[in-house]
Amino acid sequence: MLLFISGIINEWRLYLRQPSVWLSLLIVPGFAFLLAQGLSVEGDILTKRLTLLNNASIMLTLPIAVGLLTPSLLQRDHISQMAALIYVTPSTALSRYIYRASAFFSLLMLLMAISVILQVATIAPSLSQTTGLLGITLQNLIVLDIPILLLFTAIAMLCGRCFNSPMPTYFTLCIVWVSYVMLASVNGAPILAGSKIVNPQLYFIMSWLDPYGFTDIYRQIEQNANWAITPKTAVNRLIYGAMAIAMLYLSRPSLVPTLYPALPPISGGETTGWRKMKGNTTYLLALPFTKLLAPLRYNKRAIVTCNSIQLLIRPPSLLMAYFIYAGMVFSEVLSAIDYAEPFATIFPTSADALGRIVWDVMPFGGFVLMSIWAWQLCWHSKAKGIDELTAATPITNLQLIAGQCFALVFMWAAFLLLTATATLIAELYFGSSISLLTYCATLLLTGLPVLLFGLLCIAIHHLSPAPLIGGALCSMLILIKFSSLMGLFGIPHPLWDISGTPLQPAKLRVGFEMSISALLPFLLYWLVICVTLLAVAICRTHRGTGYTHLMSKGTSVPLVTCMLLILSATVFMHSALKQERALMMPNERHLIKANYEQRFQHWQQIPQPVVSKIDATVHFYPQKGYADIALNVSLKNNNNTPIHRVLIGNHPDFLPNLLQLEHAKLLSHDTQTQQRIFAFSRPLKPNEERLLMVNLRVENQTLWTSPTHHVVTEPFSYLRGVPLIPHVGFNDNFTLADPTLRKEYGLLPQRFPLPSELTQANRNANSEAKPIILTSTVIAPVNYHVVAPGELSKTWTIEQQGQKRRVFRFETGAPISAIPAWIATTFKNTKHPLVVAKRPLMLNMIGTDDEDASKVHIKAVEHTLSWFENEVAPYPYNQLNMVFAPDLGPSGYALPQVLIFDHLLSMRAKPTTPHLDQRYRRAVHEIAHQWFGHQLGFGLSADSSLLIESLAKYVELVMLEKHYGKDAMNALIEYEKRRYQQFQQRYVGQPVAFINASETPDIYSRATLVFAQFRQRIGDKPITDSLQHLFEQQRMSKAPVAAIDFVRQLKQHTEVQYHADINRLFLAPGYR
Amino acid sequence: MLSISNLNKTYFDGTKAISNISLQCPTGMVGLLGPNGAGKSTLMRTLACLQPPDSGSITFNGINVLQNPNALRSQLGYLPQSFGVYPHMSCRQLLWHIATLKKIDKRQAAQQIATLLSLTNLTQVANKPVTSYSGGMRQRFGIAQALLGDPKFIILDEPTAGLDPLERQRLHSLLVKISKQTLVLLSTHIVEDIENLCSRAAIMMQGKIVDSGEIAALIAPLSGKIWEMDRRPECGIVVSESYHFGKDRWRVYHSEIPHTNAIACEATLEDRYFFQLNKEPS
Repeated sequence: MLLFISGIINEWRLYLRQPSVWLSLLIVPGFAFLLAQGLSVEGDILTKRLTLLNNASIMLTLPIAVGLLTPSLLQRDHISQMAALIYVTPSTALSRYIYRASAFFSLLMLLMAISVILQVATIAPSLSQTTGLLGITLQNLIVLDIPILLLFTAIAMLCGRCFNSPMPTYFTLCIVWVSYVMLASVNGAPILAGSKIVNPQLYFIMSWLDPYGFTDIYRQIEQNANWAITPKTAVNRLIYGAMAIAMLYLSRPSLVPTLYPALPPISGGETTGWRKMKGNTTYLLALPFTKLLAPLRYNKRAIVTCNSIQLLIRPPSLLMAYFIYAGMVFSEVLSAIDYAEPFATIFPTSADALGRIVWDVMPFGGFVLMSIWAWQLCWHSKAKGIDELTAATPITNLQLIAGQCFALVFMWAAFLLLTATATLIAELYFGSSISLLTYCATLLLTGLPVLLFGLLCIAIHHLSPAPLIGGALCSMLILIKFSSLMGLFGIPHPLWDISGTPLQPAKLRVGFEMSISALLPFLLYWLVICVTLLAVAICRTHRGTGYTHLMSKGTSVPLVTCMLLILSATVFMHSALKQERALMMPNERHLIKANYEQRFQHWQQIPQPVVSKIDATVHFYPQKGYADIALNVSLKNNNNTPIHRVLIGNHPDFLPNLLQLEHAKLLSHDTQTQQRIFAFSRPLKPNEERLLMVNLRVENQTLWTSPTHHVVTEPFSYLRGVPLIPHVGFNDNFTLADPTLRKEYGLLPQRFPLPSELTQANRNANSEAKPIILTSTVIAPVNYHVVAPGELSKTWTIEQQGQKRRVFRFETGAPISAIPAWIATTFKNTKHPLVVAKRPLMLNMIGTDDEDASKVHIKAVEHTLSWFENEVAPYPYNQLNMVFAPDLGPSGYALPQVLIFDHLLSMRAKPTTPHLDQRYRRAVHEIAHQWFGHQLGFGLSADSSLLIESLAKYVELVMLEKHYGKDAMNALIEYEKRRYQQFQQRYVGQPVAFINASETPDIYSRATLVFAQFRQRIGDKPITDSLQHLFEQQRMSKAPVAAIDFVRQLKQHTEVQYHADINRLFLAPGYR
Repeated sequence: MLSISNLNKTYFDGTKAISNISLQCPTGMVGLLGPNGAGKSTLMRTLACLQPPDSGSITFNGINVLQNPNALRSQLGYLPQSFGVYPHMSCRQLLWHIATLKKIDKRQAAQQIATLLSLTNLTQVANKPVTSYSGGMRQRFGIAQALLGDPKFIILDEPTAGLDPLERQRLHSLLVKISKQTLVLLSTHIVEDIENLCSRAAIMMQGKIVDSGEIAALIAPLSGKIWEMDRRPECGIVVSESYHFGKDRWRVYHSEIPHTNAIACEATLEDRYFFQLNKEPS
């Protein structure tokens, strides 16, 4: 026993001196700690959250930690060439095996224990609750963690005994990691975003055979906060515990032949057996490249590049990695090449096929491969001890590094070719529309950042004193790029997207136009960084022998120059980014909001005018990428007392060139919060109006992706009035909502009552989105179609700077909700004069290119408007515009009289089932917002979205049932039920009443389920009666109605026997 | 002390590394001579139980080494021709690590490590990582670890490689001292070292031992038949061709004086080794 302890202590003495151990002690608990940041919960939910956090950290970090540790701890004898010294000691191979396995297991246990302790300390609000979590912590550690740690110890020991180099170990652990994450994601693991149960049989198998045992635990904690050791859990853990022990037993030294450091054949010994076969396979696979390189092999300028390429194409583990990558690309493309959304597919093009991989799989795969290649290129000769032999030749450092860079460029081209081939095979297999030009453009634009990262890695490795440091730096850069790590640290910045660009997917008819302007500046910036660091490497390092052998003299000046260049480029980029858009760190933004509230809160008590009319003149210059806007905003005093001073605020991204208030003087201008205080020279009397004149220019941004609602591109320009129109008075939306942040910045807690607690007395009315009269004059090039709210009253042509331009005059006549939008586009415009419920309606459809889809949308307009006319309230206008825009973000968006739909989902997508046409459903939903959102459901702070989104979901149910039948409605209910179940699985907050809910799944999916239940049990009549009453009430009182008014009306329009159901569905916490 | 009989080893690629080797080694220092690829390292690795032979037997002090390798390992010190070290570990830490593996009592280990560091002149740099050592310093570390645990059988493969003359001298003194109670098997290309240090030697060629025994006995057949001259001899067997102050020097084996200018010389182990080399087909 004493010997055993002494052996383990001896191992630990070695562990404590290994950087990989300290690195894993930093990474694993650090990741666990970062995971635990964010939402704080209490009570039973705390135990559920702890279990999920524990599972997430073990699933995501354990294989990586084992991969990191195995080479330095378990393959050390061979890697360090110390096998001979160790094997001659009297300690038996078995005893060494036992010490190493035990020490390794204890290290993994330590990592997990520290992680769990950190998580408990982070999420528990008090010490008493920390002790309360002790039980579940121990249960997680003993039942879930120990068997999997044993299993990973067995895998690591097997790798240690079977492999002589780290690469196969990394590869094995990587496969284990990716395989489980993929398996978990198709089995509804709540810790993975978008995860769902794909196959019930697979789910059943996993509930018994999940190596981590999580599947059954997730099922349990879906219903309860705690999980219990069920027979299924017990059998599962015992199976894996036993399997781990069996693996450890079977791989013990007596059964697995020990790998001795092989001696080279002495003289002309012919290579035989498996080694020969292995060599032949590698040779054959690499043959095409070898032949390609043959003419260059003896060229003195190309020899470094050729040898470097050979190095990257010959190792079997790398060859296997390339095949796996190609397989992943093929399966990713083929699995969803025609996917549009649930129940809908598209006829795919090459852009769609490439779109499946070029934004995630390809960059990630490329970055990982580039970092491995750079590692191999830079450290291979040092690892093999030939670095100094090379350095002694007349080759220059420039030639050496340039040769490696050229090899990397060659491999990058091969990587793109591999990606293209795998995608093309998938396209050919599916039979989609292939465009080779799209391949060239897309792969080149998205592949350049991958190449730049490779060059960056080469520079980093040359400048690193040790491979581990270089590898850690490159891995850190990959982590920073592909995770939100810097955001979690509170320092988000576009430049953390290492060697990345803000390029967005190409959109039909627009292409890359919305983001292409940002590509070149970012590529140039990263190129400057790469070239500068490579220049430093060339100047400072000694021909591949590493940074430890520095060039001796005369290098400090170029080094300083290069560092200054990098610094200048970074400062320049940061300033340019900041100049285009208010680039702020979260704490800066919080501070501004806190300052705003502290300085201007008292304006809530000061009577302020409201916007009653807007006369807008919008000049679109799509070719030049900007639009000039002149707004004449009428401010009306709706109060009983005169107004002396006015507070006017602007959005920091849209600052006016001119802002003048009639008969008023600017008293102060707070540039930090962009608030202006005006004093009237003569007070604004009750019902009196004054004019606020605003001029501003909206430019298409060159370094940022265009904001969703403010786009000025040649084929399509769209400007939403909010937040271009200045805000009058104190703005509730510009305050800090998070209670912790409010406390931190010394602000009192916000006292907005819950929607369910709203009474007539405690309603906090705001001026947001009050109806206005809008007149728009839109000027655009002659070949453009223009859309704006209101009726087109007049149109004429003018000449401006020698060019003919068309002027369009729109007038709303009646007030509309104050979110105007102006659109100018070259897309096709078709007018459909309709008669709906005996009322004339002009339907403008912009951007249609599919007859069938257009018909579906026209049908949705007719059905919805008729239903509202008959059951609730008529559509108050004579025109409606439907714009099928390139993907702007939301699938559909409703502005007053203007509906914007995603072109792909609404025009290209076709339903896969006759039961549910998503195009129709979406159109109905957005049309319903002309009532719910633009006539009802605004004007009260902190009221729920029930009156806007949830009621629109209700209309979807009614329309589908009425015009597509019960099956269509049930299909929607089933779909929303599944979505809501997935949400519930990963939700860790307290259950809330439907009326108070603010989470998206509650507002949409739960709404469908609530109204489906209501309709089934009580029917539609109480709902339509209540809505009629609310519309009438709002029209009479001119005061906004609240969600609770709707619930009260439901009770008034139903028998008492149904009140319990109404309470359960709308007012009771949680959904049942 | 060490008895090897009919030892054979063929590698998986078909290379017959050692062929039917038999050798008796008593206490003291035994030299192993042979050209590159003769099988010296294979023999040493087999003796160190790093690889099993295909056939044959090895006995050390009555222990059947092939049946009970651990009994030998507890008495073995081994310095391979080339070796690496764990990174980030100082010399002292690595010696402690190996001492634990050699199951040396903690107090004894501390004492031995201090002594060996001093003997190998590494005390000053004992706390520096071995990976940062020069070739000679690393070799001295290798010697120190081989001597840990008072081994009764020491296998040294090229121990003086990379050592400066002073260190080489120190090592020689140490080995001579140790070999009074111990069997030291020494493989080196410096024939002079074997001649100076060892009482016995074995000559290996192409995986076989072509001759072995007391050094004097190995040299005896050449006695009175080695001649040195300043031009290529026309008769006899040229044992070696070397230079002295830039001038040619030929050593010749011949039963009679080969030329009037030839000077009779005392035969050395080097003459015996070169004589054997020239005799064996390449």
